[in-house]
Amino acid sequence: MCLTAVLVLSCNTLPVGYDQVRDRVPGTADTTLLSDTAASYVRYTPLGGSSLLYLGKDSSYVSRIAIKFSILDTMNLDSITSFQLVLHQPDTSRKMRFFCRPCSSDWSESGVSWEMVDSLDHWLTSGGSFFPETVAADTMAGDSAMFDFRYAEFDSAVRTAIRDWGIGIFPQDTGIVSLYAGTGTNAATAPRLRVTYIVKGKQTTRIINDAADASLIDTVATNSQPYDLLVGSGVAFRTWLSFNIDSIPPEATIARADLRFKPSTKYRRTDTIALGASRLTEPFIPKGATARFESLPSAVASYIVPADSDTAVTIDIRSMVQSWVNHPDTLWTNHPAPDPLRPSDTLRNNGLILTASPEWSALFRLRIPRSGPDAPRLYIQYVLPPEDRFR
Amino acid sequence: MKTLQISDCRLQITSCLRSSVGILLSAFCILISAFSSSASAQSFFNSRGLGEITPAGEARIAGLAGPSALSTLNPGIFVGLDQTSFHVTVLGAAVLGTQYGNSRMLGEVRPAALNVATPLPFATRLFAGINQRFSQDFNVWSDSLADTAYRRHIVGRGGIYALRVGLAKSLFNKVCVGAEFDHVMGGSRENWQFETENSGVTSTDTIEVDYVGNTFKVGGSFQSRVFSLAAYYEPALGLNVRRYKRVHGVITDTTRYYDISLPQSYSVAAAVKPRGRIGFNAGLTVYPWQDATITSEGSRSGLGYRNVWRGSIGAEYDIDSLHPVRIGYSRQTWYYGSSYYARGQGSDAINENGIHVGTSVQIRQFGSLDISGELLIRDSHIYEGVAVPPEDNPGGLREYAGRLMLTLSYSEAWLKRTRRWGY
Repeated sequence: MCLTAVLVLSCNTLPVGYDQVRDRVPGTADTTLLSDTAASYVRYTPLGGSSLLYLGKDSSYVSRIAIKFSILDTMNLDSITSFQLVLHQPDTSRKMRFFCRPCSSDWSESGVSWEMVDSLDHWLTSGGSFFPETVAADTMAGDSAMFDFRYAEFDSAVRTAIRDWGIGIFPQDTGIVSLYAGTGTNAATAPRLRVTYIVKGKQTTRIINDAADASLIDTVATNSQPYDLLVGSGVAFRTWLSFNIDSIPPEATIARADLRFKPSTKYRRTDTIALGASRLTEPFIPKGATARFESLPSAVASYIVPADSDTAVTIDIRSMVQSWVNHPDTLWTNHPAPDPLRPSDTLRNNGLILTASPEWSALFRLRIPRSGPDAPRLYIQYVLPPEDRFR
Repeated sequence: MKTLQISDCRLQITSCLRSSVGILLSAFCILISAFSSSASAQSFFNSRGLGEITPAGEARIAGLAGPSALSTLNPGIFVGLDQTSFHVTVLGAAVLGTQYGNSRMLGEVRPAALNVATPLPFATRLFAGINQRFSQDFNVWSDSLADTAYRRHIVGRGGIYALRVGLAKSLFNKVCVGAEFDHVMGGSRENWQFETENSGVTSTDTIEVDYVGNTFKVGGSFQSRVFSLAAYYEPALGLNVRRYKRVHGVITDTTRYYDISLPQSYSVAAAVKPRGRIGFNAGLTVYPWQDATITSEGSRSGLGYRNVWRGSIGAEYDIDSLHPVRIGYSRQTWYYGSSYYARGQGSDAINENGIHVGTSVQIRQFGSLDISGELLIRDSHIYEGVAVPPEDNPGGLREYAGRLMLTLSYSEAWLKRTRRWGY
């Protein structure tokens, strides 16, 4: 028992003896900053690689799905007798009628969006380029469904298009359903083809998993004013905020940096909304919507849409503010290029971008007030370095 | 009747031995447990001043409560040195601190001292050694900052050491005088970390301090079979101090330079051995450091240290010629006070009381292994000279320190030990 007590005493982190150094610790200081500049923009972002696909349309959004399958070139398409698409959805109560068309051009999962086939090229028409032939039409209901393609009716060009470029799935009903994608889910719920064909006179069934998938989402109406600050998913609404932190000494340690605001909900399909704050690595002005930011957000916060809309969003951006404080503008003005002591320009305080986290999460759109008590505020608490041992 | 007295005497010796062994075992258990912790420190008070004055690195002297004038810290202690000898000492320490009803234990183990002495012609002796003068190891956690989950974790490591070399001259095989040159050097590194609840470190401020200086010391002793008297004197010690500060590992603060001046110190000790097997000793070391100063950028100011002393009494009993047991008591006030934050006003003195025990194990063809165990109680419950009970001042920091010291003493020719002071 004595040994146990000793072990407990030797492992704890109680503040015994802290008063002996407390006269060397400056007190904490608090400051509250309003954003000195702010802007918002909307972009079609690639939504490939997400774990959910969205299919549907309503008064605000329309969403299609593009899927490609890894069908081997060696497979004799003429021998196929049955071509079935298998899809799963997480919300088994939802129904959605849809139809499928073959893609008429290739696309890349990492770059495809409503406007783009990849990071460089546009679709011939917004929302994707597809052949006019409908290869399947059915209703998604329950947890999973299997849909038959009218494969025997297709000519070889359509069959080759399906094999090489995949298919597009178009909604027919109002409402939006989510489907499991091939990424981030188990193989049992991923989209796949069930192909039956004849080999040496014998009927064989083969399962072909999807090779790429993506939602193609457009916004129909934003229901917002031109100067609104918006954050949203699907079609990415992003808000840029900049704070002047020159009043904080560069040697300060940031103990707390909370970005807080009260948004109003313009659109949502879920009660819990995830927001991320990412550090800009390029100046927003003049780059605007093309200004780069860190791909992984520095901080993420969940916002539960309240019934009384009295809840504020609070995002802990302490690490971001600490980085800004560590790299004041004087480091660049005192060390002009090509001075080797000049830090990388990506470390400058270019502000932050508020985004949905991730941007393929369940569709939502929030409006952030530009001014007034609900506008973004940065609450900072910082501590100066300790005093010397001898003074 | 005579048989009864002998039996009583043996019973008392056995009881004394059991007590000593018990204290040693307890200290050993506490130390082993404390070393399992990643934290390490000598004292929670070490964050202030130059740190704790490190005791003489000899287990034999530590078992007698540390009369330093009778140790090899006295350059004039080598009266009858007739063979090369050296001492290597390892120190293990554990500290249990209590404050505001909280308790926390720290521990460390490290080499403490290395001393070598050899006889030269004309009854002169050459000696050298490395000793720690001040320890600056500490490890404390803060309370949580208001409205945040972050805490400060301050870890200090380092100390000030003396590289010693000196000459001594023995006279009439009873008197010795000596002088030594000390090159004092050392450094400390304090990491002030912000840690999250899951032990992640969010940022670190680092303060590094280097010390360098030179001093000398003179001492002498008279040693006879029955009575010994020893003393040494060390004049003012000037330390050149250089401080670096790094904030978040990114920003380098300008280097600062200080000059610290510690006034002189001196120590006296006496030992008597009235009967063949038992001896007594007493020691007094005085640190009149009230006038210690720091000079920075041409401005000199006081460091706020105190005039303090350390006193000790001890006894050594030879159960037989190869098995001595030692016991002692010491009392001292530290040269700097504890933080005034505990009370909100003034600075409280740090008082230390210690109980010391020790013994030796002879090693054939080599020398001996000296062992000491110490239990020290330090508190800062004195306010303006008046003792305040801990229950009336829960903010006063109290420490219970256990030290286990092992000294391996080598003699060039192993003999039946008729040991004298200092070697």
